[in-house]
Amino acid sequence: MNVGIVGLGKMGLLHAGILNSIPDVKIKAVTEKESLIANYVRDSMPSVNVYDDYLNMIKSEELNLIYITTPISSHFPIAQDCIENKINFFIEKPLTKNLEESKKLCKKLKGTDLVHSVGYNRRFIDTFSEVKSLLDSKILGDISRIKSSMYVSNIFSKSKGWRSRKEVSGGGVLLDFGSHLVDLLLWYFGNIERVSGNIKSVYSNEVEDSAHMEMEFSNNIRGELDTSWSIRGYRIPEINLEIIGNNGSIKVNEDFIKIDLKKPDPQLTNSNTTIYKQSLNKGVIIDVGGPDYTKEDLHMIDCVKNKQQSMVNVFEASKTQSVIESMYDAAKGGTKKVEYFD
Amino acid sequence: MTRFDSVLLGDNPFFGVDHLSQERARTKAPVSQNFQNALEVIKYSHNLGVKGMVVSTHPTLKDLIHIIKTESDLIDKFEFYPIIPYVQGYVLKINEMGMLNTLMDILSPAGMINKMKIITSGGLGIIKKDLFKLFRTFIDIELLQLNDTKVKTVFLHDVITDLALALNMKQIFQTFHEYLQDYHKVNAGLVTKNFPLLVSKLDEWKLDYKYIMTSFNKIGFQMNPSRQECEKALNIYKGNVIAMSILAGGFISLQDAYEYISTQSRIRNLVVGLSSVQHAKDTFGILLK
Repeated sequence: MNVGIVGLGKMGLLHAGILNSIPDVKIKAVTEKESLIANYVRDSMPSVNVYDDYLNMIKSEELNLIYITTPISSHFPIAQDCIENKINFFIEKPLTKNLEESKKLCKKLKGTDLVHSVGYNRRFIDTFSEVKSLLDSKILGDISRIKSSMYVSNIFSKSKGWRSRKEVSGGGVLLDFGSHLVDLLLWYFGNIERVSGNIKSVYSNEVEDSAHMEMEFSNNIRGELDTSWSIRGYRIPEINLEIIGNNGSIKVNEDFIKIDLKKPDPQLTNSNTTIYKQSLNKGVIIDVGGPDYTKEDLHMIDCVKNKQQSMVNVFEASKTQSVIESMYDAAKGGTKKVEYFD
Repeated sequence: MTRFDSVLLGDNPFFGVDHLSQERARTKAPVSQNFQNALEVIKYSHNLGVKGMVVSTHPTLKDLIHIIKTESDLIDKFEFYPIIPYVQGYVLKINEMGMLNTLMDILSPAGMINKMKIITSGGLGIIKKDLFKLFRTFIDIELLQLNDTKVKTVFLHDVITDLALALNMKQIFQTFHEYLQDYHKVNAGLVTKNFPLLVSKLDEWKLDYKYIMTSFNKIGFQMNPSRQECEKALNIYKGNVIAMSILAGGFISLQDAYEYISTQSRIRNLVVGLSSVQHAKDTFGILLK
């Protein structure tokens, strides 16, 4: 399978490393404007063709799959060109910088047999995927309430870089890190119908540094979401979810799942138990920055090989985009209904 | 007499890192970040036969070293095994300002020694164009905090090792090895989560790395592609393995960890992180018996 990568920043390099280690996958070409990286690839990876314009790469190469790992504002035009040229694609999260672009992508993708995926890699973290199985088996009975947060200690001064520029990033912490959490919530509990809340900027001029939202799901579940990239004590990004049902509760983060049940479940030996990531761990073919990225890329490659739609496809990811757009709207005042589109 | 050639301290618990649970780390951080406590642990461990400590080049490493220097003779005897670069700090910086801005930001406060070297090697413009000049400058910057300490081996962080390994970047491994040995006059080592692949690539590239730090524990945690493959690679690799994560991030008991490691006769070096004198007493009571 011939793969091209657009953008060799942090995420581009990470995916390049993993893809380079998957049998039958060949990195045929990359697009990188920055000469430091482009020159290195030219000098030391003679089998990889280097371009400074992705359109030239698309036209000159026979590619089965393109990884789009550029700043968010360029996701849409590149994905659009992939669709027009009938090339399967993977986009790093979030899908696009706003809902309008997501809608246009979905419209263009409808009726095609292209395989596409979006980098919501938290679904591939062992604790979170285990909780998905537990919830699907109705272990908690009827769920009534969810508390969720995603925090990282990152921004504590006036920020430079493209992430703080709304025109390039599309938004702040809610779109950047918070979108991972919204994706998990939709995956676990189905559509979010209404949202209300507020966003706040302390260090960034154009985008939000924190957000707090109340959510109503379609099945009477109520929940709250809190996210910030300017909070102390979170060396690495961390999601915490507390799910309360009529048969008990589950608390989950990247490290462990804490289960507290009223009535024991046949799946579990104890009704009160903590499952650590260590006990869910299985080796991967290569670990570059976390096994979840390897699993994510293996899933993508499998989907392309078998012509199956990815678990985190563009249609799925556009729902996250709908929710976040409504949250930004709600932050201006009032409760907003989330508009999904077909 | 211990069966290990060396048992080293890990510095993570002193800086609020907990591989079982970050939540637990947050509740403990204020205590662990008390470097006076770290000094007591280091002194106690050193008396029991612990020769040195594996450290990341965290910005507050210099404060810890400063405190160790207050015990005048300890700093002369105690060895440091830095893992560079301090990746977590850079990842957050890259998130904030992008990769290129991060590189330039790190280069800016490099200090006179490095600024001199930047000038003699043709200025910042040249460095920006040459990935390997940049890499060597990074090594210098990262090691600045460890000036005047006893450094035996410098390790390349697993995030860089494993990315370079995945991308087949032989030159990174070559440059790191040569620059540390020839210029800094210390041993070069690698940290990895992909031990068997690294061993086979080093063999293919004919690179003689004598020190590899990698996870070994009975549940196969962070051992890729599997515990069995990692155990097999132990018999192929001729250098010294420093086993880390022997407790699988605090998931398995010390006794179980010791029993498993004891079955692997090729493992003669260990690193363990701990944060109190009592913990040191319990741990080294078993590991150094």
